[in-house]
Amino acid sequence: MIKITSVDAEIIQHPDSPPPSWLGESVIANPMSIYPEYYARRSSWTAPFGEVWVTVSTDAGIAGSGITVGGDAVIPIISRHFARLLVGQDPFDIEKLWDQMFRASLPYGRRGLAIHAISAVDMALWDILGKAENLPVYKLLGGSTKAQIPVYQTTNDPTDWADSAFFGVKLAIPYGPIDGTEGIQGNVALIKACREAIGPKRDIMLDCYMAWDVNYTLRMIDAVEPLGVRWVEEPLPPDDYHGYEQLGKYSTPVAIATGEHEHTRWGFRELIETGGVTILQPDLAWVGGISETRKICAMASAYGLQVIPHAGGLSAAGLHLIKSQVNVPFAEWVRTWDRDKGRPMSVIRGIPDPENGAINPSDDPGLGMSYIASKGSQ
Amino acid sequence: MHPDEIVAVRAYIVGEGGGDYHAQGQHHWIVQEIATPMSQYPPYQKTRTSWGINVLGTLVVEIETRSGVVGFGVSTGGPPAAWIVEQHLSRFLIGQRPWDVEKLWDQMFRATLFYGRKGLVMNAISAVDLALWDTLGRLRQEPVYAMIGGPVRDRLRFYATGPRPDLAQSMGFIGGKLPLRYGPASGDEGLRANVEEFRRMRERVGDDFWLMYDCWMALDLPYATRLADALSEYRPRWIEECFPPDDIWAYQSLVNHVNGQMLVSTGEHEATRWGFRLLLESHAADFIQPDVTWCGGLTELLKISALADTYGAWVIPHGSSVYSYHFVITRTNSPFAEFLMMHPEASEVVPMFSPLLINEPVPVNGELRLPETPGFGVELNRTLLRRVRWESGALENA
Repeated sequence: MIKITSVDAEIIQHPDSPPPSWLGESVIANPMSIYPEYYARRSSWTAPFGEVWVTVSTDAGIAGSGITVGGDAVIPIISRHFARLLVGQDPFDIEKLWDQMFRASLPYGRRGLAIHAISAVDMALWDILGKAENLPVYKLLGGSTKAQIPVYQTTNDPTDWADSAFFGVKLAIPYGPIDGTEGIQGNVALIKACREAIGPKRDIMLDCYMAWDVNYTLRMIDAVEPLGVRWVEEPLPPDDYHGYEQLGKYSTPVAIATGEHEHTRWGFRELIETGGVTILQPDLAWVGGISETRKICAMASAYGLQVIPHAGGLSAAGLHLIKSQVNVPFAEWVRTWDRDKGRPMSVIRGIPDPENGAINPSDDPGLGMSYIASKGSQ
Repeated sequence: MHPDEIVAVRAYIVGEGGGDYHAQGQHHWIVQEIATPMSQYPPYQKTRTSWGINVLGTLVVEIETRSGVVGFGVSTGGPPAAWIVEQHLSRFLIGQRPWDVEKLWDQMFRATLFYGRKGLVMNAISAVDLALWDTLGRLRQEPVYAMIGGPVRDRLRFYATGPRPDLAQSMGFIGGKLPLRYGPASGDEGLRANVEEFRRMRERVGDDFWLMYDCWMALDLPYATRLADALSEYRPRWIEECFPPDDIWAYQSLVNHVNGQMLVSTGEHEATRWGFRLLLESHAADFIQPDVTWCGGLTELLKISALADTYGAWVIPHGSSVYSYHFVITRTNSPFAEFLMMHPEASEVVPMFSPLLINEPVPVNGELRLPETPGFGVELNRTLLRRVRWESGALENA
């Protein structure tokens, strides 16, 4: 039996501070858009979190790694609480260890940060399993269900739109209810420009980042349905289950997607039972890791729903999960750097880029992911 | 520059005692064998500290205005919650007026949606919100209850939570709530012991004293229905928090099963109006028990209470001392309050947040008249406060 000997969590240090991204610095509709002082940039209100790198070490000389978001607010949960539940345990007992982390954090967890912490540990345990078995993680999750994973790209940049290898484009929608009818026209103009640029054969999706309400969503659906929009994503805040139920009653070929800010199978059960959501988008680093996403895939499958993990193409765990699940047909990918300034050196290795519109997980044992600590860190 | 604008937001953590009820020595009843969601795992059955129930510790948030008025609020959350307050929430507070509670709450909630909604982040927001109300009371020289509608009765009545309802009866409380000792993993023997404990206590307190069981998320539906059936001849007033908070459907089934023979309650680990809406709408509980230091603070509790009122449901806040009392005294649908017996053997009335608060009032003969002291009417025992220095993670004295 292998035993866990230590659990460490640290903030990922980048050699240069990452350049501001269009996702943080341009007008994108969001829950804070109703306040003028926070309208222009999401970076004006978002938490200054670091990414967290979690290392679970064992007495067999194998260490596993996982990633989540939450910096100094998530590290103490892992190092002060979960470590004591993990050290001395067999990393293969992943079902029990997940359950114990969830139960022990119930008084302060259930959603949000505590589940971020579980997610990173869960990834690290799967990484250990893969390394111990000398297999890539997807082969432990059921193997390959598709030779290649098709990719769509999230971008508002017309130069990106021109890359027809990506089967679809997801637009980060600039305007919401606070911008009135003019905002609807502004949104439609962006979508129309995209449709004209990419032609009739590729998909368009709309990311609304919790910024809309039910009526605004219906008005937008009517306005964009003729433009062949495939789905409207996260139009409502995550707690507005009743709103998603209302959207489900509206007959339209435009699908409703959501789930990036939902956590655990119980949260996804709420979403599924609304009957209004047909595409579920858990983020593996936030929802509870690989183990929990696999359960959500099973639930979704029983309801005939698709699962498209949030930013799945940017995540080692996401790629292994996508590869292994039948009802996860493709992946999201986002260019996180400014194209004109070039790609900064990445300190996280082993997450392949898409090639010709398709992507695959690493075939190295485990998740295949490593952290190249930069000069000055440690 | 307005004299009342907020100029500083400080977060502190505390060692033993305070807002984290479970930060107690091993001799205390509250950390000994009580059924929990972890009880099914033998290594974590005997004590609640074995799996880290006390791991986070208390959070204190202090808000200071330009004119030098300082108010504070309390929750559970320790270093991670302190980080959230100082590194994220503070930017929505600095330069603002403390009476903009509605906007400030909404901004804190919206800005944390992507990592919050329930749990730790709501604990942090709760402490900030309570600090805002305390500051506002000190600015206006009014008790908080006077700012949220005023008292609807002249005194509070209490039931006592702890292992000795018989002693609570002699101290003037209207009822006693026992912690359930054994969960499903202890089998039929544990079930019989749970029922026997309740029967024994019923015998001691007579027919008219309220007796309840607190099950702290430890049960599953088959066990809870058997327990409720077996207890019914000893007339429990209610059975509390049988299931983990996400198992709304189990609560619904239990409400249907007991069919009014006893009340079914929950909500201590639920947060926000949206969380309670799900409970109320699905009739998963006959009444709700939000904790004002966890559910989003007083601003949110008032909304939860308005919602509960339309369902005809009581709101009996979980623990939380003065922060609950100032609410309870102002609501007709909050007819009595909980008092957590924080004495190690539950044999004496001691302040709930001891030793963190100065002038913390306690019930006498099961009753309490609230003073007219501004804010929540309590001061901080500052010798207990520690700040977290983020660069090193080390703790320093306040």
